Amino acid sequence: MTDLFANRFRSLSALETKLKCNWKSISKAIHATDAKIKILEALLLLGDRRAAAEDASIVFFGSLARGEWTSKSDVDWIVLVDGQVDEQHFRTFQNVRKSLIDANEIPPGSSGTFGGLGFSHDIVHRIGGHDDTNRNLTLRMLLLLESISVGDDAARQRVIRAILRRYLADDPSWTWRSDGKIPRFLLNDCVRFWRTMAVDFADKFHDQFGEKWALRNAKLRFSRKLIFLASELACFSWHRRQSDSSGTSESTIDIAQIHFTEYLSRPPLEIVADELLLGSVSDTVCKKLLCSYDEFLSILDNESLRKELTELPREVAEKSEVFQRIRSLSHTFRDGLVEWLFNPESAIFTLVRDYGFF
Amino acid sequence: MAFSDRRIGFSTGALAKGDFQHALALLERAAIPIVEISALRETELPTLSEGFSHLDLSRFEYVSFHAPSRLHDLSEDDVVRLLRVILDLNIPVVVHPDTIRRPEAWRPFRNLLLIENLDKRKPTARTAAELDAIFDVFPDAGFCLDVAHARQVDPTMAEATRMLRLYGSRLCQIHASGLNANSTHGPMSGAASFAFSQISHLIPSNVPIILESPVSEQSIRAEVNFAREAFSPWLQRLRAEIDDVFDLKAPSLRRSQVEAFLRLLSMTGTKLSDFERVVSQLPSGGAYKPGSLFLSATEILARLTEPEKMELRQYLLDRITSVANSFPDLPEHFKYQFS
Repeated sequence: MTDLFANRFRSLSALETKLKCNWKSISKAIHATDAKIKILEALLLLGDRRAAAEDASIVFFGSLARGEWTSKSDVDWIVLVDGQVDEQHFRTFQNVRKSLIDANEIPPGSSGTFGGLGFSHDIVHRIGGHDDTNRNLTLRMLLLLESISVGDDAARQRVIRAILRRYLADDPSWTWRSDGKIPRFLLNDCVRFWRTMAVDFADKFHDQFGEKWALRNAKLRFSRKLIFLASELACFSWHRRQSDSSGTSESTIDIAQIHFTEYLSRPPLEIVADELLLGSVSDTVCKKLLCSYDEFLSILDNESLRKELTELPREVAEKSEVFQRIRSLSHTFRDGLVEWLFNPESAIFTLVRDYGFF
Repeated sequence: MAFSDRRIGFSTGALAKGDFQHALALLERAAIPIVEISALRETELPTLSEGFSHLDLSRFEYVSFHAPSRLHDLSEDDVVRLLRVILDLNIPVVVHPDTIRRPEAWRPFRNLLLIENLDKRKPTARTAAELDAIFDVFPDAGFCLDVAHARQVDPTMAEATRMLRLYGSRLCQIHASGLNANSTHGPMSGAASFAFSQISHLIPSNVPIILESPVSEQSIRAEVNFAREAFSPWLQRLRAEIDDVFDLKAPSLRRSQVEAFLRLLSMTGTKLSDFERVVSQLPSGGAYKPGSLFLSATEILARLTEPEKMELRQYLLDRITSVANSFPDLPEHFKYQFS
């Protein structure tokens, strides 16, 4: 494994060595991500890497942010604005869009969530209630769980801190008695987001007459599930962190905000690998999770298999070898999760039992 | 002086906070002869005042001085007294008007007092209307337009345009930098550059531009060059207008646009080889902005240096050659224009 892989995915690398595995597709995706980000920097940043605009970050989501770039991945992005109104922000967004179109990047999907401007005020202040639209929820959770900037990252970092502050400071049951309890406001929104992604899958199937359903289904079984898992692990991690931090004079909210910012700054695969190592999870379970994920990425990176998944009609799914392979792999992935999270002997079991459902 | 030869330098405070000697050395190494010596923090003023007359500033073509922006320990009279040595050397002093409590103390500065417009955190001097009251008190004072402050107060740049319209005759100096919503200075962004370029035609070519962008020594030249493009965007603008006629990306649109332009040249009896006449026929202008002027292509051309005109001539020639290659029938249809 290269230094690059080892540095950004330290725990994943350690786990791979421990298990004597060779996750070629994961490794390839991480390197491809690194190369892709360099291409995007050359494309979108001015010659000397100066910012496109003040108070804004060009933010990418999805596989690029997770370090899972494959050859036909689409590019989900927004220009995130965290500052006063400025007509130049629209021009910045237009420039980004034009540059990506001119470079033949695969554009975001048709939902309108990506490929535009995003404003911090809505994302931070509208959590729950009528005005927390599907797009608002998606952008907020993805900023926390899988986002990366090209160029000036200050606006994205500020918004992430503000989102976490809201989840922590405005959680009435947690703020005044945070002794080891995990923050439910944050957890509930993570769960809501996971269920929203699952519901949206059905909605898109209905609205778009089944177009791309198999590819979406595969992503739901793996990458979407992975970010939900990482978000739950993040919430659960506070239980462990809190028991380590007694006697400090800093406020619990400050400590928690820093903790979650740092925890979630890592890619989801790295978070999962780290928890697997920390929890001394059995080699069999680790292999079930990460070997199946590795093969999932290898299928996505195979042009003809990905094309088949993209174009596969629902009616013939039972006969599709590639879809059945994805299905079978996802069952291995699911079984690994069940054996890890629902094992009464594991440290995480109590948290799953107490917080996972109700 | 051509607009592209604008005099652009740095504030010492942006290059080395609290160490003007080091900043001056950096500017000398970068061969930049325009400087504003900054005592933005009041603690810097006594040292600067004491040693100022011994400073060798002969290598600088333009020198100004920035008075402290906030007073805690020094009184206003102390500041005026310490600035006396600067005044005696006939060096203009940039002052934030919110630090002026007793106008009579500053009257001896006369036209060497440069009033600066302020950012949104300040209670005054943010808009042209607020500056009006200040210039009433200081009828002889000059004006230092901080375009970053003006942009923060009004990102549409209408307020900056208004300031230039009303106080253009007082304009002695420009401050420029990136500035975020929290009033933190940074290098000029792409968006800042675009905003400044929209008012650049209202800034006379001989007015010095002082950059307040905090940059490393390695980036000094790049920042100056970036600012030069922002405040002298003429070459780029004319290139873009040539592209609008000759280089639309969609082939069908490109052909119809070129044909329409060639018909225009045909009506006016203009050959493509007649560079200045071709440029004069380019459609120029842009989206309407309150208070902005529409410069014709001829007026923009007049702002270019001779080397820039040569560069633009070659650019036009390349585009014409490309069109002739892409649509070989056009030279047949428009023989006179292509001759």
